Amino acid sequence: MKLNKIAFGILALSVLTTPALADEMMDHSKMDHSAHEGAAPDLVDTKDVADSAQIVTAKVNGLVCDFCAQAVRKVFKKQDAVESVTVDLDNGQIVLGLKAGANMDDETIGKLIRKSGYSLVSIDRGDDA
Amino acid sequence: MSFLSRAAPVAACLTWAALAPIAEARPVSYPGGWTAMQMNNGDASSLHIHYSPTASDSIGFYAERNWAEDVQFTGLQYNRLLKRWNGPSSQANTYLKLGVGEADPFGDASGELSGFAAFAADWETRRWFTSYEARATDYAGNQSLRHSARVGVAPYIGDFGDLHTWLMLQVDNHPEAAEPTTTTPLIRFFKDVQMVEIGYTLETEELLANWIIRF
Repeated sequence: MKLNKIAFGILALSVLTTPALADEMMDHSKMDHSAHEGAAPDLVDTKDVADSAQIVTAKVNGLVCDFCAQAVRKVFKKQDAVESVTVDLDNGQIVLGLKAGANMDDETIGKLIRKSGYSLVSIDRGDDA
Repeated sequence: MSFLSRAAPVAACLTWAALAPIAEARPVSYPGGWTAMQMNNGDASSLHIHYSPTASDSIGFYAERNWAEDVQFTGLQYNRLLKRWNGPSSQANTYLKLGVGEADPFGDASGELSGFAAFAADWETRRWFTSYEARATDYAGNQSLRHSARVGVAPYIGDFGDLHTWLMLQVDNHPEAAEPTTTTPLIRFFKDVQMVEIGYTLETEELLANWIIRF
């Protein structure tokens, strides 16, 4: 029985490491791989934020792992106004690149961060100086 | 690759899982997210596939094959994030887990209404991790209560997309078991939306193998 259980464990790992299956389950074609292509560390979505019409940086509490980063990314990427989402785990912040002509007010950003499961601390639109 | 060769591992996995579970990490995902998690240890193997309509709730299928209690459970599981504390560099959570379904004692075709309830709590930073879970089950009239706790440390802090590694120690208490208290050193690998854990229970000399995928 013990050997059977170990065999089952090995089988589970083999399922996880089967590339074709993993691709299918994760629908890799829809994923943004730019974060793996020579980008700066800690970035979830590295579509060049400099190309965005407006950059908004939000300081967020609770960002401690990749699952957290993915949650924030998934929620904001669904927004029409958002062109790119960058999550910086080291500094606990997300950087939103907004599309030209689009806007997203502070209240909406805070609501989306709470919807993701995290807490908004502050928002910097880079125009306070 | 043929459909069969792709489907075979899935079928094998589901079959095995139907044939499981204690420390489920983060039982709630982001709104609209799906999660598949499989837990295996010396006592049981389980499969839990859930959907999170909000960041505070998830509901899904749960199946467990429990060798320790000679019973197989199949049903629905609801998970509720009771409270989350978000800190500048930490996060803490408390969860309620409820399951209802049918349990079939091995070799007995007749299933009985069964269920479980669990309370879980965790606290983590990018360096440290600790969790606790108390789980009460009633499988075909066989009632039991288990406790499970973990501490862990990340030997290095990885960036998003890197392979994250955690070294953990899990302690389980199951008063009715032949070995009421067991310790399991384990290693957790975490990359993007995938997590794998491999451990070894010292007292019972049995393997622990868990995995989670979010999509």
